[in-house]
Amino acid sequence: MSICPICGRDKQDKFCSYHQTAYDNVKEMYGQWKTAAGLSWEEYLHKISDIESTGRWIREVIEFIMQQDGL
Amino acid sequence: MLVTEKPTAAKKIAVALDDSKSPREVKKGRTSYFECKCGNDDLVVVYALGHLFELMQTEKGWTYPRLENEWVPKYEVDKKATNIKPIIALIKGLSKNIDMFVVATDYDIEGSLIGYLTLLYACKTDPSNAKRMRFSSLTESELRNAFDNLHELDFPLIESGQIRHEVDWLYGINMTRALTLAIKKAAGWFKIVSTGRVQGPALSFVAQREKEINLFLPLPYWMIQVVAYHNNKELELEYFKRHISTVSDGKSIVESLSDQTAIVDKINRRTVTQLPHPPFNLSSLQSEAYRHLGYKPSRTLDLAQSLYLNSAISYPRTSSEQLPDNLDLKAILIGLSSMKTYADMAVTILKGPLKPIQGKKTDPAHPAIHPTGEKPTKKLTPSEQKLYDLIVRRFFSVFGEPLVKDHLRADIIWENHKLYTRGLQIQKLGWAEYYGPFFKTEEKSLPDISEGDSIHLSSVKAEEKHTLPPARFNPASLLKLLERENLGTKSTRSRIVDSVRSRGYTIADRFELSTLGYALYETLDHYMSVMLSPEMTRQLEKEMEDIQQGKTDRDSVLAKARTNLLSILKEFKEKEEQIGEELVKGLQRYWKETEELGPCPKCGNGVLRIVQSPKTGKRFVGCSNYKEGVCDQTFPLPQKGTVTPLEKTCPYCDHQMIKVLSGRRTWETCINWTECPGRQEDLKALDERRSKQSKKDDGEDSS
Ligand SMILES: [Zn+2]
Repeated sequence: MSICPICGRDKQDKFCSYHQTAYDNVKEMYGQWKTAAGLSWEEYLHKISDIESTGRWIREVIEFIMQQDGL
Repeated sequence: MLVTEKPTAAKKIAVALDDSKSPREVKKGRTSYFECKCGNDDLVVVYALGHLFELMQTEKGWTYPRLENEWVPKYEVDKKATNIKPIIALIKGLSKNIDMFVVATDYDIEGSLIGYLTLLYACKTDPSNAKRMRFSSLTESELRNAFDNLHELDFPLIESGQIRHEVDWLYGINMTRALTLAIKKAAGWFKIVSTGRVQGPALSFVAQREKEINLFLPLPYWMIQVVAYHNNKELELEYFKRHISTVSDGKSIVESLSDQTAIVDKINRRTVTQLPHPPFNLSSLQSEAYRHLGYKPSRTLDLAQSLYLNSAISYPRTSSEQLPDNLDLKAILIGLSSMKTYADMAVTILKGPLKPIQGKKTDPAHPAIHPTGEKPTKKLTPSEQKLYDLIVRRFFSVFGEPLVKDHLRADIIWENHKLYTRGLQIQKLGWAEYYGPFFKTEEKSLPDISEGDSIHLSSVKAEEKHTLPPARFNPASLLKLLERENLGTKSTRSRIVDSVRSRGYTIADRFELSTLGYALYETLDHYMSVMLSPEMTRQLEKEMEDIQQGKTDRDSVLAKARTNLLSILKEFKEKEEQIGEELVKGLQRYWKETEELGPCPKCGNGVLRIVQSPKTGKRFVGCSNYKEGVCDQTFPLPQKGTVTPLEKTCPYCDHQMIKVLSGRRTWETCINWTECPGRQEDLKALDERRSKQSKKDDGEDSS
């Protein structure tokens, strides 16, 4: 088993179970944000990481996605 | 011979029972006892210092499973408890010519057990021939009365206390050793990682909350904010739907309301009466003291204990929210009326019918916490004084009349939109007058408008807001949860809450899970979730209560607890290797996060670490190359609070940034803070705070 690229814990799929859940949340909640605020995927990621109450694992996963996609 | 729990209690009891109110204190080396005359009886009043005896393992080896133990003098287990030795010797010596033994410790599980063990192992007498004084406060009248009406020893209570110690010992010792030895096997380090029967579930609650917070993704909503004018006065109105779920809906509401003239349709008045809160039990006292005074539950318990020993309040370890009929409320109020601060309130209450409001919760042994009405014999410290004030005011408030308040709401209408403006008027303060500084409400008058008035909506905006994550635990809320889940007892919970923090599983007071906390929680959750589950503990808790009520006995509960523990340990042993490895990984992350502060700016290849000076005990930052004599780079650190590195460097001097969590305060600085050109202001502020704090400490017992 190899390790989560974000935190170094054992990895399940793409990430460890925490960051995987965070990643799934980020994908799943986009729909609601899109309807509510009409944001693009990229705008959405930036927005979420700017909000103070965003959870630590969510923030870390977004940082990772943005780096990978060169956003 | 009367066996009491503490020197202060011994003195109180001796004074209360002595016919001339002046018992003789007989000094014996570092310890003492009291002699008094009570009618035809000569009394000897001795004291323990809490527990004189503790459980010790009887088999050899720092390993597990270890199931056998015995009660031994405390100094055999805890080498520091040297003050216990002369006390046991004194009690032993005095016990030779005694006609009757009386247990006069606090009337609760722990007190009963202390009395029982003292009779058995220090007095060397048969406890079934001894008698028991039952009292809820250390006032003369109550102590006299308790002595005149002695009871038999409450054996179910004693057994229940005994088994609590035995079971906690079994689980604590064995599980802690299992964890510690798993790490030792995996990495060769000896690092004690402790857990326990209640501590495991408490850690799990904190960890689950932390997960929710870390996985929290906020959702947007919009709030309509309206500024309106009426007779040239500005009004802030709220929109009848508090949450608008899309930006487009928000926009269309803004468009249709802007610059319109709305009409006041109706003014509603809703009158609410609120009865007084019930009398305090320990947990409601702890949560009010945290809310209004900022005291941790364990501190509140300590302060309350000291007020009790000072005869100022009744026994604080109670679950009861009731003041029983046989309590002389009138005498208490008359007592309080002789204190300047409380005279007026007490006199007013005394004119009434003295019918206190009662809560639902009960306690078999003690009434709700209340002032005794006696002046404290010793001057109270400022913190004790504040807690005493809270207790007295709560006691007064239970006699108060209901609080009556009017909620006012004006409905303002434009087409199919509704807007509100609200007011709150207190009609009658009632009990809140007595509760005084501990009653908080925001009175707000309704603007001067009438039905049919027109109101101009001059500015309408839709403001974007976001949903919020659940709050972290604080000591009081974690304590409440343990109570609700029926884990631990009223006397153990606050210690368990403290231990989660003091063992490094959380950071500072905020109950943010530390890397070590994660390591332990994740490993156990993965391999041994039973050690985190509240189920097992709750079941045991219930059985221990059943002993108290005579529904089961100590032997069968103990046998079950042992079998259960053995099967857990067996399963643990099978997974020891994986558990050890995972804990080691977690520990490495923990050490990395807490002690390493990035590369050394001086030598380049060393790593900066937080180290403690062996000479002064002060902590500072040093380079890992120091030992080799290669690099002597150091930086001073603030001495208070938890330091964690941040993933950024200082904008002024380029050194590593750190976060310092001290009490409820968090601040960020760089490790070069004392020299950094950008931080001289910070340094000045810290100095000022420090000198203020030391002044405060001089006037108050430190917390
Ligand atoms: Zn991860």
